[in-house]
Amino acid sequence: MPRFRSITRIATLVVASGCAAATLEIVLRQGYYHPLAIDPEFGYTFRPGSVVRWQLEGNGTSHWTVGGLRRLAPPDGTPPVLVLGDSFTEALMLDDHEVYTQRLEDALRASDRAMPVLNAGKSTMSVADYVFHAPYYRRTHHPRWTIIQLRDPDVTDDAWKSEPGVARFDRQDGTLVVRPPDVTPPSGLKRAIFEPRQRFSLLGFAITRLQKFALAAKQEPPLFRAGSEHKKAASPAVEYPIEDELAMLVQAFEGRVTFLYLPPYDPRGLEEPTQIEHRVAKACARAGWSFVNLRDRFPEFMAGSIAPYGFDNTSFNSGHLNRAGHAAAAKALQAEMERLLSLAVL
Amino acid sequence: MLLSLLALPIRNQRKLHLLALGSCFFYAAWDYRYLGLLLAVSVIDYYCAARIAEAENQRTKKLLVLVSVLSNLGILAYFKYVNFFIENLNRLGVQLPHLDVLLPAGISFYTFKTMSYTIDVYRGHIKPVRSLLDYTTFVTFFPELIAGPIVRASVFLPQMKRSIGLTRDRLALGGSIFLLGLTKKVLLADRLASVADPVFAEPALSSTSAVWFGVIAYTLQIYCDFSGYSDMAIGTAKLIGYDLPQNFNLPYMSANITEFWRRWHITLSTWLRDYLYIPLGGNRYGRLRTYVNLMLTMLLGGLWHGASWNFVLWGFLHGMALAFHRFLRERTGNRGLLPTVLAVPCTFVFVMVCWVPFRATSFQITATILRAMFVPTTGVRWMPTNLFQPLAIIVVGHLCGWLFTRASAQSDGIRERVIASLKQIGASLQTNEISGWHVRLSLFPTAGAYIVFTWILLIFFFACTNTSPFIYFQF
Repeated sequence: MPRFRSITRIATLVVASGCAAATLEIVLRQGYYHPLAIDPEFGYTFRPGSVVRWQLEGNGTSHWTVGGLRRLAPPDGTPPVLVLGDSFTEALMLDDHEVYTQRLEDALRASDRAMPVLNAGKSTMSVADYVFHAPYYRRTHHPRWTIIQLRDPDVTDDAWKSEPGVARFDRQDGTLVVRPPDVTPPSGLKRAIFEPRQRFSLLGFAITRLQKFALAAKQEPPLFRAGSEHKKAASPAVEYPIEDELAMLVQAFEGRVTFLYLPPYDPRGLEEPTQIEHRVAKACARAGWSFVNLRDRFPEFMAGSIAPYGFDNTSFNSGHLNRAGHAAAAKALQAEMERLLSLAVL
Repeated sequence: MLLSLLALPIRNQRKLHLLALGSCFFYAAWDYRYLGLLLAVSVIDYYCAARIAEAENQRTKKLLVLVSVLSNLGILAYFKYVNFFIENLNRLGVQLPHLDVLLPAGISFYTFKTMSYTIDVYRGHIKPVRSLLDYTTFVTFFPELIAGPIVRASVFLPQMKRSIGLTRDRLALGGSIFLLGLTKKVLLADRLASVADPVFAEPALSSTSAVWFGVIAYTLQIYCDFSGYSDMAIGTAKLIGYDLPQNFNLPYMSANITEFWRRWHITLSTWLRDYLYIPLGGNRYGRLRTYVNLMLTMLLGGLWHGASWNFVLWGFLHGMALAFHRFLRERTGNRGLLPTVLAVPCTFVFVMVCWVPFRATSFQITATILRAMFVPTTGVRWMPTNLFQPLAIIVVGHLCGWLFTRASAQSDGIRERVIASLKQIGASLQTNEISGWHVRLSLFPTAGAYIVFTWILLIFFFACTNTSPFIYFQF
């Protein structure tokens, strides 16, 4: 009898844990489902034909097609406006129609300037990646024009850091060069769990969570001082060759480029650009490159007492561009596109 | 690992040694240099108490208790308040340099714990501990060392005769309580912090509605954070075999401020009552003196929380409220001015407004937030779901707790129905005279195991991963 009781208890625990896992799988699929496919060019992209759900920040459902494009159907071959960017353009936290790329396409169609706008945004990309992958983009999409979304880190730290799957700038004999990304397909255990990770949100999210906990554990433990705050030593400033990076980028796309700049939003100082933003704007003005700055729309946010960043389920004015931010970006880009069309440049 | 060692079949005395060693290692992991301070405080009070018990004349006893109290307060004053004093003296024109002093973790809690031991021995409430090791085990007991509950020797020392170590019952009850505390901290408090922190960082940018959301969020955050830590401490202690005192009892269901202080941070408020308010005279010397004693107790209680005038202001507000409530009670004969259905939200709003100076880092921020709360202000508009979801959970939790405590007081059949419902999932209500009532979950039947596993997975998947220290660690 004791043995039977032990078996019954073990069976109870197994059944209960299975049911608990199934419950969490159903819950997680509503807000964390993004099946990936191995891609020879980019390492990983979302599976063609997949529907990605994201509720960790904002609440979005996105459709993905071949080549890591965010679109319901593959491009039809019409020379498009290609949009490159990082997670701010990828915008998993919004539905398809809310992202500035789709809004721009809809706005251009409404004003009889119909042309496809392809969203090729991918998280962790930077200027170095756009330069490196430029031949692929031109060969695959034959864009009539390219919009490149930038933020401060895209031309500074993110473009120079060494991480798997991303390109980076480097200096070789004093010349600016791009180092290719490491897109080696996974092998061994990583390869074995790759498919199950794509099928089950529970497994994929569990691995992500463990990585986050490991990262959090490495952070310096907080110290408390009576009457004063603990201060960390400031890291030394690094001088990045932003102007050279941008010149390389413009050349990679044959000069047919518009930069969309997304600066941080600080209601205390709407007019004050960041140092990086100032350098980018100055370089564009000097070289005559097309430049759109979301800062020009900041007074509208101030008047409406809202911010272009942050979501109801995260924090105000932090994180990614929200619906209002995407709408403002689309309007600003529409004006620039129409200006370029009127000049017969686009 | 410590729990595994305590499960070994060795003598209880050896287990106590292991527990003391483990607790010291736990404290030293933060900063080994301050372990010496903790042990020094233990040794001073141990010897003072031993000598008090041996002393024959009252004068010697008083001198020894004074040594204990002054040494504890002196250590606390230096590490916690020296730069506060220097800053204020500098504002008056005296030019003194800031000292590079680190606030030792838990110092506010363990000094109060050891002082209460010496005072209780002096008062004859307890006999002194024979073994320095036993006393050190009590002082360094790791579950409540850093942020309470403030455990008195009279509560803890008698329990040291118990056989400690992990058993199935202790795992079930202690694990349930720990799980609840962890939920409050990582699922609720940290989420609420994302709403409160931006408002308190930049109040001038926030609209009236955003400020109210931020203040409500902080009101809930501090409750979940602190009661969550207390639950984790109580749960961990139960795993070992000890009962720690209840520290929170549905404080936001209080119908007046006096009741609030019987339900919020219970171990601190009873400590202040027994070792400050009553020695000052309590209510024995007339009405005016009673109000003064209440004010002094709350002012010092506020200052205990931190070296800042904001905390003194917070204490002042609560002291005024306590004095006023006492004044009203004397006039109305314990009948409240308002019915309970109005008194509870009024008390909640008052306590919530008082949290503003407690959380704000300066008077300027306090003034800005209070102004924005009561004078319509344009600014950032925000509808944070990170507030509404935890709010719903906390309201439901409070209602369930209130229903049970009301039912157990009135015995109208609701309690029996609650117990029967819990039994369906293998859970039970456990009441303990020290740590209050808790729900004990079980892995059997299947429904119970399903609830436990789902709960653990929910914590794992949805806990905030931004490092956010417990609020009361800074005290």
